[in-house]
Amino acid sequence: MNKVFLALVLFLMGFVSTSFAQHNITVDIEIDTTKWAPVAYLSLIPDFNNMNTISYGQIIEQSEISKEGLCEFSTGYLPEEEHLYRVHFSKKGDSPASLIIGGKDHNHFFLFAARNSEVSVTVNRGNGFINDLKFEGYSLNKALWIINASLEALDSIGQNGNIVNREYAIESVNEEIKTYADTCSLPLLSLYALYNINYSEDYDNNPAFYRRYLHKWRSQKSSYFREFRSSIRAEIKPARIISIIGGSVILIIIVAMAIYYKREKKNNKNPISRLTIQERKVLDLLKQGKSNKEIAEECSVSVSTIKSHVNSIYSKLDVRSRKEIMDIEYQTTWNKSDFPSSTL
Amino acid sequence: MTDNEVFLLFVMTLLSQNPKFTVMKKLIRNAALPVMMLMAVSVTSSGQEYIKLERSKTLHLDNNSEKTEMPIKVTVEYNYLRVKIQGQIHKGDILIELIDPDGEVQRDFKIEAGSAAAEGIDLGDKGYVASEIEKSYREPERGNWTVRIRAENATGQVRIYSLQIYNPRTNLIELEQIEKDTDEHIG
Repeated sequence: MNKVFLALVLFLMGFVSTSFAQHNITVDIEIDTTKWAPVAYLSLIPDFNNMNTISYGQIIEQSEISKEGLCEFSTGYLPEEEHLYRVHFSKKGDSPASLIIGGKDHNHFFLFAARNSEVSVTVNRGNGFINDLKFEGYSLNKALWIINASLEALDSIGQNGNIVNREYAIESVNEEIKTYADTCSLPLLSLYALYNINYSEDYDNNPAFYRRYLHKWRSQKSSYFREFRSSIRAEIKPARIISIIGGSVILIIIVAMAIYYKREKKNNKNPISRLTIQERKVLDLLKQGKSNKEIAEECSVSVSTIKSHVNSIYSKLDVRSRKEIMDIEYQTTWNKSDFPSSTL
Repeated sequence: MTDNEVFLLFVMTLLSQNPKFTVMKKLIRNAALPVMMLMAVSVTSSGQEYIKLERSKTLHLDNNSEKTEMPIKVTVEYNYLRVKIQGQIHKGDILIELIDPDGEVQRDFKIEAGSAAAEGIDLGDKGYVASEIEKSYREPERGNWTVRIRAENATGQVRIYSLQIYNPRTNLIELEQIEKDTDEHIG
């Protein structure tokens, strides 16, 4: 009985220690306390467009840096899904919300974490304050380090090197990062790589790649992918609307031109078709050699009405006399029953 | 080369940047430039001095909501460019971009102080949000670089510093020394 009780107690102790174990982001950094405040700040970066944005609202935790250069952020309260975080440091006397991008005082780095993930970062100082990072634990960050190394190379090409070859070098590194994004099996990391090569400019050159990419990661629901999808749609929409409107206009013009030419062709072939039904009947009677008066009597209308029709016929058929009308050959294409005399 | 000659060359170069001094500009481009190159060689070979053009401008924002563009003209006379932009605001938001002559955004950052007030966060005695970017280029693209500032109800200030150096040898060690020397200037 005692053994069973002891086993139960040990099991409970193990369960409790596992459940309530502290999971942290641990940062090991050597700082010059005469220049930098011994505090580190953790910010949640909700989308990749905001990596270079600073606000108080982004900072979710701060941690004192010990004399040994260690600081910790608990990951127990972080969102369950993977997110991008930024750890930054401020100079003494500066606002806690201060970000330095580039130069020797570049004061921040990024990492991925999720609830209860264990991340360990060692910051190595070189020429700058944050020169090189070594990640342990959460595997996503090791891959992040690889991408960042390529991005640093890209930045370095931008700053140095031969002006003639610079564009070519940037293009080839961009292509390398894009290939990584295309083949990477980790969706968030893949997207991170894509954002860092300025995809909005690349989209114009290769929209098919981005359509394929969206399809590949269609099941991803994170805020990062939602933001990416909406920005890509914003790129696609105007292009699609313009192509639809343009296509429709061209189609309408083609159809209108086809109808016009067809009608013109038909008119040229048979000038009689330009005449109204009444005019055709008058023409028929004219060809029989009847006078205006006879035609008026036959059609039960006034002579002046017939004169008006005759003038119109002359004009439409481009003739000047009854003799010329007699010379016109045409096929009668109507039946008398179609045109009752009352129509005249 | 004497100090006076270096000073004269520097003044001429400064004047050449001003569109009003077109005659001086032509003179620099057509006649003085080869002379300047020769003079620069003698300066840098000593490892002591170099020709530089520094500019600094501060833009004060008082509840501004507008787009401001500040040009940085990079002429053939210079083969090194360093740009530092510092923003510090108490209220509102600003977006700052460094754009190269091709219109490509090289660096950008956004400062949001408006959100702090909206969320009821007390900015305390450090009542501002700050950010800065720095970028240097060897053999920078010639043409008009631009610093574009988009402010939204922003109160604070933006300081833009640019440094151009002429060093015909593009010697890395010398340039590194120059960068170190100018670190103190740009703060």
